[in-house]
Amino acid sequence: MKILGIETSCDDTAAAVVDSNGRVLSNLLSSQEAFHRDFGGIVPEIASRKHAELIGYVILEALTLAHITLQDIDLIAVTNGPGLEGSLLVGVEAGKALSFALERPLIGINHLEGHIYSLFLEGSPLYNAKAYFPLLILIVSGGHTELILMEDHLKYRMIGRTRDDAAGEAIDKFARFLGYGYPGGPVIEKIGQSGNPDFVKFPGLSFKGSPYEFSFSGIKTAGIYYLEGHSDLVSTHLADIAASYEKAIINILIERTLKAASDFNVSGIGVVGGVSANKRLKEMLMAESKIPVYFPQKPYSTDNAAMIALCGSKHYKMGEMDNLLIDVYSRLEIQSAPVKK
Amino acid sequence: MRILALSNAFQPSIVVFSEGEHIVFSKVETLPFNKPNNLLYFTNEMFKEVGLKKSDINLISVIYGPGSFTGTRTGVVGGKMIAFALGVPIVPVNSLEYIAMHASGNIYSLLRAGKNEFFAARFEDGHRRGNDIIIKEEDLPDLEYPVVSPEEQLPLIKNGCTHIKPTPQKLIEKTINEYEAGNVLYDPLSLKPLYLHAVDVIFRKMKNDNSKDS
Ligand SMILES: [Zn+2]
Repeated sequence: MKILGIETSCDDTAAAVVDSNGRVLSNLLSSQEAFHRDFGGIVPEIASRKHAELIGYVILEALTLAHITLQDIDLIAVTNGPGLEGSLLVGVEAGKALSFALERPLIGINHLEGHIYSLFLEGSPLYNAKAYFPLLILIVSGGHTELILMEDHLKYRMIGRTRDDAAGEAIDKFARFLGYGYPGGPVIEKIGQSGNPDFVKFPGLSFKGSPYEFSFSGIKTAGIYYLEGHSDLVSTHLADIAASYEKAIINILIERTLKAASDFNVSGIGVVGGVSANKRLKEMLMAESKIPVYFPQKPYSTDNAAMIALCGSKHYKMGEMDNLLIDVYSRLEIQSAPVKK
Repeated sequence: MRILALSNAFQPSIVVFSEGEHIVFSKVETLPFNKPNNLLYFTNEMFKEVGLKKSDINLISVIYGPGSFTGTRTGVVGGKMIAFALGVPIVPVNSLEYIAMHASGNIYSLLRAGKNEFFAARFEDGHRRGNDIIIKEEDLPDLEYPVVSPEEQLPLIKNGCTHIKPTPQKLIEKTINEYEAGNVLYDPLSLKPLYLHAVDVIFRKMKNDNSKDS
């Protein structure tokens, strides 16, 4: 079975062809980064316009690289939330039009759930593996920071999330304050590479409540406050400051993740989302965790359509399907698949 | 020739399937633009009911703007992806020209373009005179010709205003006219929505709005 995945929830126009095992026949991504960089963030109307121009060609290219035609597609999986409504609408409309014209089933996929399935794509240790559940999933990106207990395929339990900013957002704001454009994460990572991560002691988390919840607004404020108050050090020790700030955020992520992993007695930890590509996070978490930690292969850590396609095939196998009334949602929770009767 | 024509750039949305000029079925619906194009659902149901196959379609046409940004975009993406999947050409139809077909004489065809602005084009006896333009609401009453528009609420216009309900029949008529004039895209994927509002203008406006919040 061949699945066409379509992903336009944010600023990347993506299409992929994947088989139901997670073998990737093609994975195409047209980044709009250059169009949004000058603005310091994503301009929704510009993102939607670019999607509308590119979507057809990106899909065509994905088919060409997979050496197949549209007729060979058995299922169309498209992200229908969460994300920018205007961007989501373009991908969903493309999916609906193809489903209509080709008479193929269509399924709407939660973008965050899609990220989880980046762990099961070709190249990952979890690809076609058996017995790795329960897994603790940390979703960490510019828009999300969540801990999810994955008891089986398509079975999830939300454990904790951020109360305020996402981890990636806290890094982006810090970068923006330093005058770097969007996206800020990779810039801060690069600057901090050679720095001493113990140069500044930024505060950790201190709030009452669930031990699995995150908060990054405090450290974001502390970071910007530090930059404002130490303009001399910013010019001489930027690498050290960036490394320290990044480490402080990663410490919060790791502390909460390991606590949840031990409390829920999982057999492994999966880290997905844009920030999962961060080297320091990877190294620190692998060093501190006693159980296996899984990261997606590099091309699947950022937004991509291969993960959407694979997730779509899992849902389809459970007998789920959408019709052409499928809607888009700027906010959408990860939901377990209904129990098969 | 069997034509599937879509209009989603302004209210109401229309889908129509015809054999030449003869309409097989059509649906006219007022939908919010931030919803996906539900017309494809109804069209699909209709195809099943009538016993038609998608491969019976020889030509797609779509209103490609100007109009609501989101509505125009979903219409264009839907239309071009159907054409691409079926391997048939697509005819792009200008929304103001389509509206102008519902009247005669010397007129302005008019659509709302967001807050205090309108898209307009001038026609004399069915012939376009000049490009699509954006005009300010305050300049609307003084237009030299009467206005033709599907918009409900317009200010009082000196030369008069005719409110029209866009019809599936005119959409097919316009599609055939364009097709016969050779205005056909054989690479449907190359079709882009027509916006008039340039990206840099939106960019500047967003930048201003943004600096106001922070
Ligand atoms: Zn993402």
